[in-house]
Amino acid sequence: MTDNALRKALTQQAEEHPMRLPSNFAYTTLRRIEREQKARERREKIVAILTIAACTIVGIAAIVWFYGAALKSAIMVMLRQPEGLSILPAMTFCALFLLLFNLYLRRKFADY
Amino acid sequence: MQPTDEQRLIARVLDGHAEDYGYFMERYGAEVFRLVARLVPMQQDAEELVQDTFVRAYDRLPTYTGEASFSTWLCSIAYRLTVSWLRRQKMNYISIDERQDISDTDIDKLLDDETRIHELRTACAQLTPDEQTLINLFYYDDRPLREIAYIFGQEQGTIATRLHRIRKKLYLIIKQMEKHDR
Repeated sequence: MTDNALRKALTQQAEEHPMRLPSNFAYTTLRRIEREQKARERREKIVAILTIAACTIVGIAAIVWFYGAALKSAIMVMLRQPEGLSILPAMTFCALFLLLFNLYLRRKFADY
Repeated sequence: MQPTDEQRLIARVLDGHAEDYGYFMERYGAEVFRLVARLVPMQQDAEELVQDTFVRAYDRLPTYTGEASFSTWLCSIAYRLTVSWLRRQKMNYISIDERQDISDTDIDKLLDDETRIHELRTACAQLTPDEQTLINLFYYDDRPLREIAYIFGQEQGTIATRLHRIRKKLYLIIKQMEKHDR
């Protein structure tokens, strides 16, 4: 079984209708891959943010649910005492410091 | 480029050098396009499917184990994507009653007869895209049955049987054309 005639028929057919990819095919495909990769990264980022937000909300809700009453009374006791608010400036300073440090680290390691 | 060099290039692409992937498109784009274009009639659709193939292959690059050559692996992705595209298009093709008993010698003689090249071309055009792809991969691209089986995701024996049936179908189409001409 050599099927020479069939082989020649297929060769003629292929040579008569040569179809080619456009010359910029590789370029446009690479751009598409780049676009899809960026879109995927964006989606993953959104999913990560939503997951963190959901976990945080659930965590806070759980704390409030289990320890809400105890926390409220403790805060009220703290506020009633004259030296109760003295801790606030230190806490604010710490929060600001951590926020700025976080921003600095994000910028420094943005490429990694 | 040797397969080992290609493996190195794949490792580089996986390492974040996406621009190196362009080599594979330059090298195998035409081959994949030839496969897809045999199944899909419109040039634009074929181009889009080839692009889909390379994008899908890029996404799945970490799963490429090297069990088949890179071009065969690409062709198997292209084939699967094209077949599912064709399923969505719901195209209809002619069917032939293949139950008739015909001797293999008659089929061999006809497919070897170089005075029948024109009829064979007409008959080939009446095969389904899937069948056209199979005979082109075997007769025109000279791919071994093992590679065709990998591309089609079937056993080598199944491919051999399908080739046999396609040869018989071509014979029957030509005989039917002759009957109409009389």
